[in-house]
Amino acid sequence: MKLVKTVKNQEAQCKLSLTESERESATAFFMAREIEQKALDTVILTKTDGTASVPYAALREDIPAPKADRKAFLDISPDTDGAFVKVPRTL
Amino acid sequence: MNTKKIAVSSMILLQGAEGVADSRILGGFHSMIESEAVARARAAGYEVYDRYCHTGEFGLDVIGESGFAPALCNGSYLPDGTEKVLSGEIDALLSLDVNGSPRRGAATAGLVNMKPTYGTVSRYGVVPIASSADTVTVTAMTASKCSELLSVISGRDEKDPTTVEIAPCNAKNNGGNSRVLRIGICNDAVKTADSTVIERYNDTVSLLTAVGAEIIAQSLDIQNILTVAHAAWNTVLCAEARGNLSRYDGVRYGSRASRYEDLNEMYLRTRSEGFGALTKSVLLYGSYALSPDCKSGGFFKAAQAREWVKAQVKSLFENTDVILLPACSVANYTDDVIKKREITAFSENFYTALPSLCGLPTVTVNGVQLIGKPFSDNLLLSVANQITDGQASACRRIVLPSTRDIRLCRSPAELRSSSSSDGQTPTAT
Repeated sequence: MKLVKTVKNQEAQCKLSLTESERESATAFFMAREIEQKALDTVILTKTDGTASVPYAALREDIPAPKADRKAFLDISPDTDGAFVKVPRTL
Repeated sequence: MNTKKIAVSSMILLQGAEGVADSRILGGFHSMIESEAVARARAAGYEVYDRYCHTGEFGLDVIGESGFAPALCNGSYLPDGTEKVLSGEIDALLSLDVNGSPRRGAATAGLVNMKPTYGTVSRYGVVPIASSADTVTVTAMTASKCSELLSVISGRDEKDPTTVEIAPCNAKNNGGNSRVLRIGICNDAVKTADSTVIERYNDTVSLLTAVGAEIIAQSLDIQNILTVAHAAWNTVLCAEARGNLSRYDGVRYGSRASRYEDLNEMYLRTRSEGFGALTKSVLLYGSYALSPDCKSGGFFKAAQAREWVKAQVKSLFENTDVILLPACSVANYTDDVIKKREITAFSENFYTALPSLCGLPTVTVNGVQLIGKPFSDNLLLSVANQITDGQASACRRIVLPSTRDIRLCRSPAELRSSSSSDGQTPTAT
């Protein structure tokens, strides 16, 4: 049911309208890809400074997830140096 | 002097030709430009077939089956254009490798396909799907014919900033490699394939041994690398396709829905009527993978897994020159696979995902893939040349299909009724 709801949500994002058989096919497609994604959990990822292996979700801890803390995300403003904007730190 | 002839798949633009990308959404679209690869081939004296060879909607299919009615030859459906190569009507076929279908097609037809290193051939004038991996490939009867065409179309192009300048492709030039060639194999990697594929794999190992290569059994877990690469590639492909296919909205070109009340409804109807079922599934999953709703990590996770796979492959190439893998999991594509393409298209790419994900050069010969380091295209062509020209008599060669056995998988009446209900491009009968 959750996958069916996800498929319907994404239909609006993609400007698509599916028939019932297409929606069933898309749900099966989603299911197959989600099962494959579990294989990616076996991949060990390290920080760029090589200090420790961390889950991928923690690698962007300096920027709050937009959905979780929208106000904090919007409050981030770039550092400026006179007329210039300092390039924010990225991975 | 015999003029050399080539045909071009529908993902590579020909000026004025109909049927771009085998999609209904581009119905009526005629390109005003010609792709750089075709332009270079014409300038070198090649005659280009004036109609597209079908590649399936946006090249996402198993062998392109959604764009035409594949012919059954010796128990397997073959991609469009391969019968022209087999009969000698054309010297080579130019295709865009999106999801591995040119390689699978060459493997089932017994032809040679060369997918060069990403960035070797200009992508100017191709229909973009996965821009970080789409590669123009050449299919021909022999490696020599592949290298002749590649030497003409490859090289730096100012109109495509992802291209690099390279030495001309030459199947006789093994890149200055004077020591014994090291071929990496892994029996674990072929466990999931059927018995005919395993037999072809073992035949190729015997052939390579006969021509003097050193066979090295890999100690790294290739099966795990392939599994991770497959999962990452499917997500990357869907996410990149989501971005590239968002341009088809019926506004400036292509087909447009005939009835709508406002702009939003025009977008909805045009895209819903224009895309096939598999393309819609790809778009939806790509959109999900790029959204913050994707709890499993989506595109971000797949992109990081891609870097992990590249590091593993780099380790593999420290003690080998070429890695040998099957091209397909089944030797023959029958109704079971073709008619369930919404599922099989993204499971049959298990072996072709790794070279696509990492942009590696790959030559498909004798039904198997030889994968090399980046820019080792000449080495691969040289190895393929030795396999096709100097094979030992004890090894079984793939039997070329006979034209007497050709049978269409669908009747013309079925084609007409399916094209009107599936939203796919009607095919000529």
